[in-house]
Amino acid sequence: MKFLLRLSWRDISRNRRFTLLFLVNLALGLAGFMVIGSFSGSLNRYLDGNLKEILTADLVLQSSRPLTKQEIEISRAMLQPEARISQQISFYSMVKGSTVAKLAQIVAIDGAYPLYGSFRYTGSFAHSRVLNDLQQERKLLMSRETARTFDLQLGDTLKIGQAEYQVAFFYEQDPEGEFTALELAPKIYLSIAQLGDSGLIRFGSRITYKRFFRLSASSDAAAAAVGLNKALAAVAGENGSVRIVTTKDVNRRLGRVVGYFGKFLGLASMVALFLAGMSAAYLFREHLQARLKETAIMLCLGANRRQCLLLHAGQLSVLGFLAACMSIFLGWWLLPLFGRLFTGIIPPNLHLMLDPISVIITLVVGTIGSLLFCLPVYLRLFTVQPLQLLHEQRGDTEPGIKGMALLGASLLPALAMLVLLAASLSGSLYQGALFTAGLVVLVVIFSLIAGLLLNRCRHWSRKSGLTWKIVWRNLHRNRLSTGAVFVAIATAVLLVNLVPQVENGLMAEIGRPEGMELPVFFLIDIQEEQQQPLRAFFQGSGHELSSLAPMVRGRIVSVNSVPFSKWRQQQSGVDAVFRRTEFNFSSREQLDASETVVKGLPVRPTPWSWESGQPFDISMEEQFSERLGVTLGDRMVVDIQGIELEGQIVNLRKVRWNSFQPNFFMLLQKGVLDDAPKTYLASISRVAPEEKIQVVNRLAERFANISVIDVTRTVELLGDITAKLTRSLRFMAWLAMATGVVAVVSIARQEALRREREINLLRVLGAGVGRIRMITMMEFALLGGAAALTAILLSYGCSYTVAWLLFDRIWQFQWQSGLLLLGALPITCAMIAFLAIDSVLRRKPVALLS
Amino acid sequence: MLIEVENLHKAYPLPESGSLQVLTGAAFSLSAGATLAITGQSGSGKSTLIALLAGLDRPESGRVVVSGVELTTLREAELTRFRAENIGIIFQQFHLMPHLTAEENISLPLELMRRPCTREKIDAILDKVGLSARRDHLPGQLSGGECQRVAIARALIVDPVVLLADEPTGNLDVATGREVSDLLFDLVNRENMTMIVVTHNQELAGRCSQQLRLEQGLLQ
Repeated sequence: MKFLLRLSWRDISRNRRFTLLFLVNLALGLAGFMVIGSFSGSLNRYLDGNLKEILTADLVLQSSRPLTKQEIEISRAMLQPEARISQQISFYSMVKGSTVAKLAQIVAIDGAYPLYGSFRYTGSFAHSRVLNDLQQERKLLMSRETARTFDLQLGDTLKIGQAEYQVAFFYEQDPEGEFTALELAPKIYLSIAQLGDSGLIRFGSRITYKRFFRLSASSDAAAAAVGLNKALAAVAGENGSVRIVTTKDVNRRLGRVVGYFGKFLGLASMVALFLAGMSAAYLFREHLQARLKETAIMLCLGANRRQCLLLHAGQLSVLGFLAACMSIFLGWWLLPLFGRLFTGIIPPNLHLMLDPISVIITLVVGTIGSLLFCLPVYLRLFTVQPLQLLHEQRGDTEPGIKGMALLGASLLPALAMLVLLAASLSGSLYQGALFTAGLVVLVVIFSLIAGLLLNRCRHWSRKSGLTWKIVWRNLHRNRLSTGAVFVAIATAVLLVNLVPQVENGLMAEIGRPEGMELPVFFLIDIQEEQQQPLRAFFQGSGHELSSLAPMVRGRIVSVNSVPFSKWRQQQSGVDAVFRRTEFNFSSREQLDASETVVKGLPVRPTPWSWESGQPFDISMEEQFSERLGVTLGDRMVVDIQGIELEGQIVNLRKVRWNSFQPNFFMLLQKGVLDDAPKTYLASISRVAPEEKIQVVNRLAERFANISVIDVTRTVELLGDITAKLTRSLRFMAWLAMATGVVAVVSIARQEALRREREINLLRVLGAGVGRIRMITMMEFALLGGAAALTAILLSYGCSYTVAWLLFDRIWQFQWQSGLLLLGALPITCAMIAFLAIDSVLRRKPVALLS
Repeated sequence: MLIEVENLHKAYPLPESGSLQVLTGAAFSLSAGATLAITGQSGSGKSTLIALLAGLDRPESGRVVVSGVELTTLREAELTRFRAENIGIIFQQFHLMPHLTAEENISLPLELMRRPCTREKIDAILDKVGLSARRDHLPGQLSGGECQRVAIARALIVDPVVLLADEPTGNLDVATGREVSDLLFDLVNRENMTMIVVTHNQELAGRCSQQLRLEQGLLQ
């Protein structure tokens, strides 16, 4: 064994070029996997370790109304009398500073908040002093950035509802503010004791009441939540409006936000690994080709086949292990850069570090994966016979059906490994298998196209002059290597061109929905009696109030006579006791331009009446119906302001939420909501940018309770988040491209060496160095150009399919990146060929005689 | 007899159909210490015969007995072991491991068999083939003659019962070829070894104690 290791090491160290290219290839391919694994690992570890701090409690009771005395008593009794309790009331409201009025999230807290986590203040303030000041006087706590948006300084006053408050403290970080980029409006803290003065706690305000509990260290919060839920259900029925939130819910919510994107990034990193594996297999093929004779010599001298197999397996594993080590180092170096792409999206205190599990997986994948990727080539060792040493003239024979079947079977372990890796990254075996299958299909398509084009080269060579004849012939003759170059370039280009293509369509649609006018403001909490004055207000300023829609909060009681909580449990197969039952209902005479009925009949225009004894019509948003597990014809009982009414789903609607128009999951037939107390939503379009501040200020002055969402600002925010997320995707795509380029470099280099005798022969026969160089450069430039063109065209098709399947057919032709790649790839390939051939051309043709 | 070959038949399948009969009942025997030259035209089956004698290939029928062991009955692993311990092979194209030095190439068979490989033994064999000064050179840094000397040393290091040489001077110029054949016969005679040489070279063949000509698959 020691001898074999020595022999293996000697071989690796003597073939530095192969070793280096093999290592760089695999290291680059594994680096993306390493970075994504470590990024996700760091984030998950952070979330796991800070869930209580993010929730600020072990358990939270949440409701859109104040908890009843009975509910408070039950919660106290069930969650240990000694549990520490804190309260919070939060809502969105317009807030007016000295010059600017804007929507803000008002968070009123008591003296015990937060039960976990803490505020980090700007300046040396004691938390107890801050809370005490907030309790005693009308004082506010906010971040410096929030103050800046309202044009405020410490000591300035801010009008919230009817009362004025003083900006007293700034914080750098608040306990719940881990994912601030996703917030709709800036947060302003004040005391519950001072909230009443604002006059904003009244009907129509969408307020969230929270009661936080900190249990003793030995308590099981999840079990306590289940017990409490049962006890609350006993008094309020199974569809009570109090929701219990635990750290598990926070984990699920944050994990979902981060998980989706991590999944895409992870799969993008798999493309790099796939390309690296392909290139490694090619390099090993060339390396092994030269080692077959040595294997035959060893077999002849007394080595058994197991020793020969071990020698090369060991070599591959050592190389794979070294590549994995390099990729870990590369990952360690890239991780901070990668983290910077997510600034503002991930928690500011998150410290990105190498994930031990990812390190282990990378080492295992590197060590075993290198062998699996090279298995089809490695199997050739089984066919080596020492007899070949006496019959060297015998060339390779074409593999028969058995040989082809064996070759196909030898690809399976590598594919299985890719499936498992993709499954671990996407969190689903189905998605992992689908991704790998997609990749294989793509490679097959590229291989077929390459095969067709390369076969055609033979035909073109017949009609060409000498230089072009050699170019076409070389392309045709070396189909395996040229095909590998084609596939490597095309796969990488496809990914690189796909990301900006999808991003472009998405950005365009967010900022300017096709066929629709994006509103400038979205108004919420409009009271019934404010409809007419509001219309008049906007008419007076030359603007028009549009899409005015009523909104009534209610609960779904049952579906097809099954209690709603049980229904959801049946549909999802998981415990759904803590899910929300309250929803917003609306009704409208005709559908908005942003919605279309995709299934069923329109809601009847005639008003529904209680006396009819018939269920009223319900129009449900398509994806919402999937989430609830309901469909056309299902009957639902809804509780609207304490009255239970039965309706039937008559149609499913598709809603374009990016239109920012007042849209609802459930629209009820006209007449159902007539007698219910309701608020309204509306939108305003065509407000010039320079008028915006003035319009909002006047609106806040006149209608203090109406909240105004600046849609253009929200679009900017979404665009910013999308840009940050796609930047990281581009990062992965370019990593795949780098791997693709290294693959081309490796293949070009090997090709140049393989053709050394042929090149020398051409020179001996009188071909100039310039012509030979030109031939090689043209070959690779043509390959690069053809692969890039194929991939770019296919990427348009793929991006259209992705847009059609995932993004509601949002697609826009983006030609810039395609054109850039089409121009750059042939030049890059030609340059690679130039460098690869250079060292061969510098040798003397006399080598042919040696 | 040290080597007994009886009624050897060997054919190779042709790409389209049928087969090419290379050996048709070849037979001979050789006593210990004898040297035998097998000559014949290109494609007459000389290399096939040496492959069968070395246990690198198996005949369709017939027997090859070396030192009382019938090679055709041995399993692959047994055959490998027997070859490593009893048969030294010298190839026309040397077949040295390019990344191992002369010394490492020579010690390779012993390492593969996990047999002790002393410095003295290597020194002695290097001295015998006149390559003491070139022990640390790679094959690429040696001349053709020197490469073949390394190959001879590698074949002799295991003290084989029989030495098989396939055109040992075929890749060398006349003068170097003569030097190598001098060395080879000197070593063989000194150690009283048994050797079978396949060659076109009449001068080389003439130095052997026995000669056979392979024609139409038969030894004459």
